[in-house]
Amino acid sequence: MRRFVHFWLASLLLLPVASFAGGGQEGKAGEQKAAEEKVVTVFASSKAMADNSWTLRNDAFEKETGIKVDLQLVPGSEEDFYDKTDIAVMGGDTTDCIRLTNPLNIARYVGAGFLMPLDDLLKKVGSDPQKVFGKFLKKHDGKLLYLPYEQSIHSVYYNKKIFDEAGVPYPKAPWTWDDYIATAKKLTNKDKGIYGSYFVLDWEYYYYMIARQRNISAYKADRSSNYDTPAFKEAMKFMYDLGETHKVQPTFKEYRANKYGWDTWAATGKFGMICIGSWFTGLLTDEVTYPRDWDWGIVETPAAGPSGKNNLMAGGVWAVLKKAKHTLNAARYAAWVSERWYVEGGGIPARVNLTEAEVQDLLGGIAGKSRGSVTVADLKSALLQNSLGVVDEKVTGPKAKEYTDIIYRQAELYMSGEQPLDETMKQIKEQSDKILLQK
Amino acid sequence: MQVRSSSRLTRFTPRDSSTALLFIGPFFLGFVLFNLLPLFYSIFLSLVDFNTLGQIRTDRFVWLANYARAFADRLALASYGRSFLFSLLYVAGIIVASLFLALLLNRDLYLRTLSRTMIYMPYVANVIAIGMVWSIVLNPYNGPVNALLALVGVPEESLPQWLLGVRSSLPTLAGIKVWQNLAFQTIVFLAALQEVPRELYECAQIDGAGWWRKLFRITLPLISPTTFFLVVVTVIGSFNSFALVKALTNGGPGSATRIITLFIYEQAFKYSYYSYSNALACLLFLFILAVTVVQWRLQKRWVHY
Amino acid sequence: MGALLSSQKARGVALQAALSLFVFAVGLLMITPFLFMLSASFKLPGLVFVEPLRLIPRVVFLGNFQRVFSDRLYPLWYWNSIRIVLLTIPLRGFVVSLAAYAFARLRFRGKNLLFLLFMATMMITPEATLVPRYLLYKAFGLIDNQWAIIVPAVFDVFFLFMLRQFFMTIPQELSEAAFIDGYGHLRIYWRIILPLSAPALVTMILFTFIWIWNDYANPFVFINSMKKQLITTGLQFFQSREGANYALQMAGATFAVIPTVILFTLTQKYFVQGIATSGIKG
Repeated sequence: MRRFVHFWLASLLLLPVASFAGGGQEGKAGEQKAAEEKVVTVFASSKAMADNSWTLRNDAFEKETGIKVDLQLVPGSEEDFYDKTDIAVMGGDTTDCIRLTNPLNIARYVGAGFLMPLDDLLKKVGSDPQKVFGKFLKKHDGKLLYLPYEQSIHSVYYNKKIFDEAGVPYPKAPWTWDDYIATAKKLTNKDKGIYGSYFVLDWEYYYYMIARQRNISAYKADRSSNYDTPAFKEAMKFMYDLGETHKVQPTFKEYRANKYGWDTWAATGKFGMICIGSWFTGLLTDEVTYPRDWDWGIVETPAAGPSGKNNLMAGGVWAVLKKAKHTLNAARYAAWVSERWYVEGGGIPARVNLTEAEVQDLLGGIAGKSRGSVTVADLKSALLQNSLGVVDEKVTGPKAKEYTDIIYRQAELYMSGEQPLDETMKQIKEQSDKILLQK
Repeated sequence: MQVRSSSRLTRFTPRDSSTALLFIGPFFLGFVLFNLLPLFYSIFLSLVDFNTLGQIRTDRFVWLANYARAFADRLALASYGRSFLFSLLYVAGIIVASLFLALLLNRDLYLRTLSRTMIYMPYVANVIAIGMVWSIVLNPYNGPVNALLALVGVPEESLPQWLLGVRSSLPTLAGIKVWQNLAFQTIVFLAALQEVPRELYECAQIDGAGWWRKLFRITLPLISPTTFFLVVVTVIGSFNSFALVKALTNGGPGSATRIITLFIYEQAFKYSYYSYSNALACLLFLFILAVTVVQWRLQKRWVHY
Repeated sequence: MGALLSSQKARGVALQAALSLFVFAVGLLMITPFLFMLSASFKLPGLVFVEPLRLIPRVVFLGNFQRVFSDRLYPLWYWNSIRIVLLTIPLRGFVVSLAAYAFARLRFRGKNLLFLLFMATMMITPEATLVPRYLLYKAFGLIDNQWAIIVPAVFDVFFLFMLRQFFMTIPQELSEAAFIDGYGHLRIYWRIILPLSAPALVTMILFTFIWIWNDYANPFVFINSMKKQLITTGLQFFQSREGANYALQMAGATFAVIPTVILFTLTQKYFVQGIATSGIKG
């Protein structure tokens, strides 16, 4: 029996020793001053890991500040990203920075109190956000909780090679969605496997895009769902028709079956046009990750009728998490990255202190990387000085996440041909009312 | 030399308790920490009002409110229903298929070892690989299966949509899970079949019984304890399909494959309804427990020991 | 008489052949998805969908495997998976077999009740307790740590059940003879019971390997840093990054499946025997 006890004592002692063997727990060292440890930890989705622009940017940051960027990988798809970060942050994770790309998630994290106020931190690292971002800054309760790294508005990007081969003149602004459809029809060539149009059918806001362009709110005054307004039905039908009626883009089932995604347009070159945010220029200028043998053009978004002359706008932000371990490094990273995201990542920054020359440079950079197929004038007229107004791209408001999830799930059923349009709209209204009017 | 007293173990009884403590101790400790504690914590969470993202707020007790909400939630009830249907399809499918295969493999067939190995293969694949492979194979547009069907003359409109069809996705998933897990059940059945004495079959043969009779009068009754074990274990396992569903359809199309474990996950991770999610999970546990107890009671009817 | 018997024999052989063919065909059907996986990994990325029925590619392309092997992170993930499995198996082996021995061969109060309690927890689906477990592990400091996968796996009830059944089939006489010779329980366990349980133990080792090697949900939730990912979550990463490049993904998946296939083939003879004599059946 004594030998037995010895046996167990021995194994109990071995356990902590074994834990240090390879990949063991990080020692809970005493609180080190953030400034001392030259590291900043950042949550990154799996796509970001492979994105060349991230590598370039983080290398540049390390070169300039000597602070190493340690990416915390979140495996899985983009939508699973927040599944993990939500619970991690809530459980007290000490990762420093996070990128929030969707107004929904920004709202959630602000509401959950996950974000650290940046005002003092930025002062300490010598950064002046007001000077850099100006009107693009949004404060909550007088506190600055995140920095915008881009303003994204939608444009239509088109594949010049496909246009040339079909003998179709490039699209010119201003135009309407009917023009878009007509153009797409001329480009579609089933034999060559070419479609004139492409939309990222995984993103729910396309299913109410038309309504958004007409600036119709998804909520009624009494907070119930506004989905019984005809504009939403029209918006839903629009996406369906593109694939099934006009047959200018893959049907929803085809899209799913072939596992198309948000970068398929840039990666394959089989589609004529795509309507998507300006961050997309980042893909089009990155020929390392997305090599291509065709040129692209840009033109402003078509209008959704006389009352729908609006751009869809969104923007991503960088924030520091409340339990961050290296607060000063984090603030520095957030500011640095937000200020010059566009350099490696493309897109349009949300900055107010760019000189005319710098704007020229920025656009020129994009134009240059497009191998001359896009001029600065093109970019300017499509992105900065177009004929359209501006509305928010997504639904934001109470229970927005569940609301948009309901919209998306019903849209999926409708788009797969499993549920008629009227029933779909009815379901959305009923289900979302139930959620929205709950206590 | 063997002096055996009538109560063999009595001379060990007094010492056994302390020995048992030491033998079971580590397991018990770990079990309490990693199995019991999460369960209790889960029950606890389901009784409070922790349904928003932010600080972990466990001070407000709402007792059964989360449970009541589950019964009023049409989407949750639908998810339970789907899981139930999925279990039915899966358990029926796999028990029948594995028993059938075991009966065949029990014979002296040519190439038996090779065939057996091939049949066991799917068990070792990881779920992500399975997801990728089946998505490609069952692609309704240019996947091999539908290409083959088209070749055989099935018209294009009648080609099954497999994982993309609202009505076909759940059965397809059940089928894929059967494919994946066949090995385990087949092995267990095989082991059980080998315990059936050959003489019984020989006697039956002499009496002129056909294979039908042999199957239903000899084989099935004699392996019924195993069948029972497998049915119980398989039913429990059928609710553990989260990884498969996530990798293959993620609940879609629409909510056609949104089984309850996926629903529970989403309620917690996508909408931050943590307490609600745990209430649903506890209900699921009770449901599985009830099903198991029912099966346990019913065994007197058909299980022969 | 001879003619009758030989025609019966002939029919018997025919039946045998027919059934063998059928079973073989089923086997082929079962591995067909693997064949596609293997075939796709040797195809040029753009051609994976082009001729879906063609198993042997026109051009055997080795570039996918080259890319997999030259990837910075893939070997790391592979090693992580291996290390976790190598740590789990002996730990689980000891802890569970000791407890199983107690339940099978010792007498103490509350034995059956305790066992029933353990069994009941088999009915909890792991996803249901994901949130409580995450918060618990966070409190223990196990997040982003291989031990978050290993430690809970050590205390597995399924194998406790299986080993207990098996140990119960070993005759008590052996223990008694050992007691008479002055052996204590520990020595009996180590010298007698374990060696006799080789089939059951091999079964446990095999299935532990397979289940942990293929586990996705646990590393997904509990591991953060990219260097600590396992092969399952790593594969998922391949998918998101490469998007439409199925050929590369299939190469990665094929390579990840190899250890399990090898282990399974090698240990085949053990586990049928293992389960047969484990008394699970009755």
